[in-house]
Amino acid sequence: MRFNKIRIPAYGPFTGLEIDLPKDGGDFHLFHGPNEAGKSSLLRSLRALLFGIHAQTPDNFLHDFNQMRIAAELEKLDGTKRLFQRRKGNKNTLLDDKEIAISESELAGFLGGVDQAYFDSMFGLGSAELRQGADALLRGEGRLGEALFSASLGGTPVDKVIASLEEEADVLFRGRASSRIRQGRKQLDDHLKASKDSIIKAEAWEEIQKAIEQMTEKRAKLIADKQDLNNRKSWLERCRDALPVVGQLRECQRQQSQIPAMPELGEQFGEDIREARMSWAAARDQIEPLKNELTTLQTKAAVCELAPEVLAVEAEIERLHAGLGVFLEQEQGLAEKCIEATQALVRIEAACKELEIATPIEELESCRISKVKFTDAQHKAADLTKAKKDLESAEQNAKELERTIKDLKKSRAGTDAGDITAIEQSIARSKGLEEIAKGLEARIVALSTLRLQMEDLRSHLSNCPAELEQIPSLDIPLNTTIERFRDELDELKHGEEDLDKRRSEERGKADTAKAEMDRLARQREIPSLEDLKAARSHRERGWDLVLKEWKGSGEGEVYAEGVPLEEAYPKSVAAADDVADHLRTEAEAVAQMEEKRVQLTLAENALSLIQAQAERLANGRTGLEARWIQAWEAAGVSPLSPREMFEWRDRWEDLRRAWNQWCVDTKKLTQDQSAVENAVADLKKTLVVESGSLPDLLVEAKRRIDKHNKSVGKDEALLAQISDKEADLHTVNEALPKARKKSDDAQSVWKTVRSGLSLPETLSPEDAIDLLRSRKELFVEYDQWRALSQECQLLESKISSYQTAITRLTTQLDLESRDSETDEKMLWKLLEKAKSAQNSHDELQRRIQETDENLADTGQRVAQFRAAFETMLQAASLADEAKVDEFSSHFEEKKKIDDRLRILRESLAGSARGETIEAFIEKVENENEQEDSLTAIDGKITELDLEIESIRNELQEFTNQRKKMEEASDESAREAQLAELASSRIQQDGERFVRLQLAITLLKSRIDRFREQNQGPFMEKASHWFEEITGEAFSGIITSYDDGDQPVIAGQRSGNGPGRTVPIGGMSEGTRDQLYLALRLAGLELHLADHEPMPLILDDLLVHFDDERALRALTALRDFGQRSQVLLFTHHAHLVQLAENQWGKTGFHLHALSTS
Amino acid sequence: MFRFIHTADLHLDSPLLGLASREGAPADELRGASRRALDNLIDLAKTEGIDFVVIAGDIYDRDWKDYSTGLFFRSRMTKLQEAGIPVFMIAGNHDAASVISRKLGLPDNVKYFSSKAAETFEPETWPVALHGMSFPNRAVDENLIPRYPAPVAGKFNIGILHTSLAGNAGHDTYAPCTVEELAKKGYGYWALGHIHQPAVIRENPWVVYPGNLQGRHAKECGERGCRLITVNDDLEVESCEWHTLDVTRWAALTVDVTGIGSMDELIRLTRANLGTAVAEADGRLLAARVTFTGTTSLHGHLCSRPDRLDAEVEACAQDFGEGRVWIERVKLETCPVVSLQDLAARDALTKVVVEALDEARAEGGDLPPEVVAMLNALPADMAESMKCDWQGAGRVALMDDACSMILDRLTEKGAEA
Repeated sequence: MRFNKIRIPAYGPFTGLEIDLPKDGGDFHLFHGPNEAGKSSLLRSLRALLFGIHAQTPDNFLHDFNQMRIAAELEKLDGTKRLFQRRKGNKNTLLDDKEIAISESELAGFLGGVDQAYFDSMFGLGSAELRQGADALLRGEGRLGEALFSASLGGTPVDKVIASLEEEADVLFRGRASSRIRQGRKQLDDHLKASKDSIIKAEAWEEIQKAIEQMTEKRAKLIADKQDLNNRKSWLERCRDALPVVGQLRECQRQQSQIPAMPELGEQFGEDIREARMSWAAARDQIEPLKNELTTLQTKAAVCELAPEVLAVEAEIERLHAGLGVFLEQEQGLAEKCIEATQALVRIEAACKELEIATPIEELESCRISKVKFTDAQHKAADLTKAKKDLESAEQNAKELERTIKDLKKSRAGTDAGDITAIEQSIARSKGLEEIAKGLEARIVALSTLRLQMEDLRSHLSNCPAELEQIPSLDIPLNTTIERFRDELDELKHGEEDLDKRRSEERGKADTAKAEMDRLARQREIPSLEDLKAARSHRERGWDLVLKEWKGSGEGEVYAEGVPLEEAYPKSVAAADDVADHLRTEAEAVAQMEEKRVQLTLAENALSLIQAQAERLANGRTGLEARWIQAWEAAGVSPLSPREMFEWRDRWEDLRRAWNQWCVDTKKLTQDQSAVENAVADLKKTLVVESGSLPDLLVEAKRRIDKHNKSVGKDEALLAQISDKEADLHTVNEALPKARKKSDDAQSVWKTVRSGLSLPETLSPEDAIDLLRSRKELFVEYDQWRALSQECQLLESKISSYQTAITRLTTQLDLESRDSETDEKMLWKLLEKAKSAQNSHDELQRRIQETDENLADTGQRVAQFRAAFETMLQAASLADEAKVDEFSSHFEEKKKIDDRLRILRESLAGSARGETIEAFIEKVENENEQEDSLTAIDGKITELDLEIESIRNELQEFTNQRKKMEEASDESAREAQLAELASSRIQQDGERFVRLQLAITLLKSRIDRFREQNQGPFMEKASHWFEEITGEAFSGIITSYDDGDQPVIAGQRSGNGPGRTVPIGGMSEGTRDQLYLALRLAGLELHLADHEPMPLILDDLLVHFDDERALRALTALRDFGQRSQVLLFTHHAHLVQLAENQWGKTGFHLHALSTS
Repeated sequence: MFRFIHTADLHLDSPLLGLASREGAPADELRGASRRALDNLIDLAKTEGIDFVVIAGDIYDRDWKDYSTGLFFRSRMTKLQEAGIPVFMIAGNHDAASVISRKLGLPDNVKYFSSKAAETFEPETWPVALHGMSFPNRAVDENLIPRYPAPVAGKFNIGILHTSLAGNAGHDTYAPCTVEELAKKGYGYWALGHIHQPAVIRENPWVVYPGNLQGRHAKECGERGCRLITVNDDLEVESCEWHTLDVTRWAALTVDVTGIGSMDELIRLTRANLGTAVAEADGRLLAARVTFTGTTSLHGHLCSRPDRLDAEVEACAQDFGEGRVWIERVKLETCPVVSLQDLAARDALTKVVVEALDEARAEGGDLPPEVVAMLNALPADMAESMKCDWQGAGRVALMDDACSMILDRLTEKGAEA
């Protein structure tokens, strides 16, 4: 692809920019312009045209987003040309030359599968990228693989895919370093350990239960013992507390017996008789002081100065005193009001003059206009004004409406809208199908992919029917069944392994025993007990024969062939003794032999048992395997192992689900395709067009409907306006005569009102009302003057009345009169003095009467107290007053002892706890060793308390433990749950990591393969470009090997001298830049070999090149331009100069960009 | 009239499987889920004032090394005893007589059916006869129905049985029998256990699986609980009410992203799906497996950054409140909108890679050393299982996944940026 023309109507700094890019004489284009000329904007615009305008583009400083447009004519290698436009937006941003939105796929055909990222990295190169590439070569020490990859394939997504896979894999697991899987494993182990540690064991539960029972029992016994001790202690404490009381009781009883006898008198008698004697004496002492006080009071009362004539007018003086303030204010107020009244009068006279009222002030009332008349006149005047205005307004409105209607009729243009019913019906019929149509292609691809995936899945599912349709209906056993078979097989396997192990062990034992027996037998001949028994038996038989011989009944029996009995028998005796002796001397070896024999027998028995068990297990396995195969018969599948069949079943499940989904989706797709095709046919017919997809047809149909609706809508709006205006005009014309009559009537009424108020005819209604309003204001002033005059008269009357009252009182009391205020103060002072003297006299009289009464009462009390005292003397059998003190002393002492005895008995009653006092006292007096016993008991109780407390604590501890257990902490289960969580996580992570690493390994192997295949051609092309750019300095690039035998690239200097090979590290920065450019050009050449060409866009690429190398690079790029378009942007004028000097102005295409 | 609760498959202290730990995940919500579900059952029994409880096996998940599992069950049975509620229970395959090696005395209100022969309990309080038999071994391939006694006349007969029924005949050894056999037995209600999916197999007579009390992994989705049965004075089942008791709800959500072209739309759709599941979970912790399906242009983007997709889905989950949703796994089963031909046409290396994918699926060889090193860091059984995958039929699947991963990333725009 190449750019034929660039057209930028509005983008960045450009408005209407047009650049033609001819290809005659080569396709190398040099864009030159100073800074700010828009080179960067042009570069961005080309990228934006091909791949869309970035959402946050900064190129909106001149043109709004919605105005932005970039266009270019592109031409493919096969000569196909097309103009594309790009607008900014979220969708439908690619337009054709008629501004109609087109699919991105139409542009994709020109791009040959190159997307933006690949375009940027492969076909865009700037000085910065060039330097970065060169630096990377240096860092990689020129390793060929990396150089090839960096320059030729760096732009492919493969390296990014590897990087992203490795990044994700590293997070999951990274060697020995900390990673998610390692952390997860640690968590899993921690939780498993915690779960195990948290287990509650049965033994622990039972131990605690037992301990609690024992402790409870022990505690109950200790509490009972303590209760006994407390009872004993309580009795002893009662005794200890009662003993002092008993002693005191006995002492009181002794004291009581020593007091003389006296008659029975009340408890208070002693106190009463003393009190009676004191009361009598006190009353006698009060008589004389009372008499002295009475005389003093009477003397004071006689000297008081009284004034009854002043007190007689007390009320009058108090009233005048209270009214003094008001009197003084009234005098002040009268003066002020008089001044205000005078001023008001002056203003009224001036107003009368102004309003031309000649009437004297006294008769001015006759000129007042009533409020009713004024309001009436106001209304009539207003009615007249309004009627006139309404009339004028109606006439004006009518004229305006007539003009408007005329304009509307003129502007209403007849529109021929046509009929769109058929189009609307077609759209309605295709409702909902547009989105379906857009998605059809993707769905077909998806279904096809799914079908392929299912086929693939099925091909990997061993023993599966060939037809996918048959698979979902297979009668496959459940997972639980497979699980059960797996468990049972595992169990059998473990059993068999166990048996094998045991068999091997037993065989070992048997072999060992046999070997040991052989060894012992080889060492010496060892008789057995059986040998001894046989020898002895032989000997016994010989003896029997000897006896029979001796008895004469043994004839015919042979003892030993060929040996007479008399010889054979002694031999048999000797032989038996030999065996016995031999057994004794070889006892140890015999025992060992016997033990080994027993071991051998046991091992052989065990092997028999094992064999029997093995046969049972083998039978069980055969049966199980038969059942396993039978379980799959219904599905027609020959099963592998249960573990494998788990996997098989999961895959079958996936396949079944996928198949069901595919069936449903396929059916739906067919229906949708049919519906879309019908809708397309319908729309073509309705719109009368030859071709078009459903979305395009719908766009066209909607466009036609919009156009029709707009036309119809405008005409309807005009008609409605005209109708409204005509109705308005009709209403206005109907109202006009009424308005005229109303105006005339108002004029007539006003005329009547004006004459009634004697107003001049020349006055307009508004002026007449103003005149009336001024007259009303005059009468407001007049009313205020009248009120002030009346107030002055009232004040004068009140002042006079007060002055008269003062004068009358001074005369009555014979006082010298001055002014009213002074006289009043004098009267008030006189009244206060008279009231004070009267009050003192009244108080003295009251006290004299009181003292007189006290004196009489005291005399009566003296007589009463004497009589009472004498009665008491008689009751106590006392002869005279002198014996009273002694008697009282004895009486009080006896009373105290009685009280003390009572208290002591009451005290003892508490301790006796229901017993009689006497019985209790007797027990207490008989109790011994209280103190010793109490100390001992306290000690024992303390010990018991400690013991009980200790047991209580232990019991509590056990009870708590039991309670904790009973609450059945879920700690272990919780940790097990957490372990499960951690396990699931690392399982997921592990599975993911495996897949990531497999993907990484796969990609890397493919890259290696690619390198091997392309290394040769790549090096050849790169070498060519490097020589071209560096000229005589280097003749090309060669492959060398580094210390690690890795292929590296190096420059090869021209000529034949030593040091021709220059490694990357030995090159200057500029040469490295040129080497990288050569590698990139080589990579591009490889791409061009089997791809649509793409323009190579270079931005200020040669800034670090000297003039000679820059010219060589320009030449190389110009050469490259013979195969593919090259656009080089620069702001360096000397590059342009170099090119022009080399090729002239026509040898390349120069495009000057200016800041204007 | 009397009422009873039918439950089964408590699997106490069985961990919830498949949930991978992650930062901030509500692990505490998960702990003891099976215990709290049983607590809910006890509360229900007490609140409803039911007359007795029937447990049709698999109280325990397996032989418990931890005594606390047994103690916990005992303490909950004691609570029922305090409320005056008897319990009739049998052992299933998971807690068969031969499996549970430790015994713990249960309170008197618990009647445990023998594993030697079918037994009948006839409580005096209600006109009911309960027949049952515990599993003697983990695997019972005998049809136990003939061993169950004939119905007791004049009483409502309840058969308690741990069975996989005949639907799986030939594939199971869990007391296989047919529904017809159960119906012919003459009992009024068959309280079954073993199948974890709640189901009323038939009515009159009633054959019911209450399912397990708490779902334990992503294949046990939906409500879990028990049945509360009311038997009227005519000895007929008046009602068989469902009561939800689980504390953590499992859901497998399939989000079809066909035609969706932006992550925003995908997230919106995911949130909507999760929202429905959260609403159905009714305040419980939701453990959700989210599977994305369909053909979408987002395919490459989703595949290349599974952690990012995980985070997005996790963020969606967090929108429903802290600790309300636990994403068990995010599975990607989407298909790309891509042409392999176009992809291969872009550059030579990509072409080599794309063309080699099919060939790679059949490639053999050893596991890469990085993988071997990683497997050494895993628990032995897990590592062994993965090695088996590589050495057996799983190899092709692994290479398939690796190839898909490559293809996904090659087609993903983000990978090229």
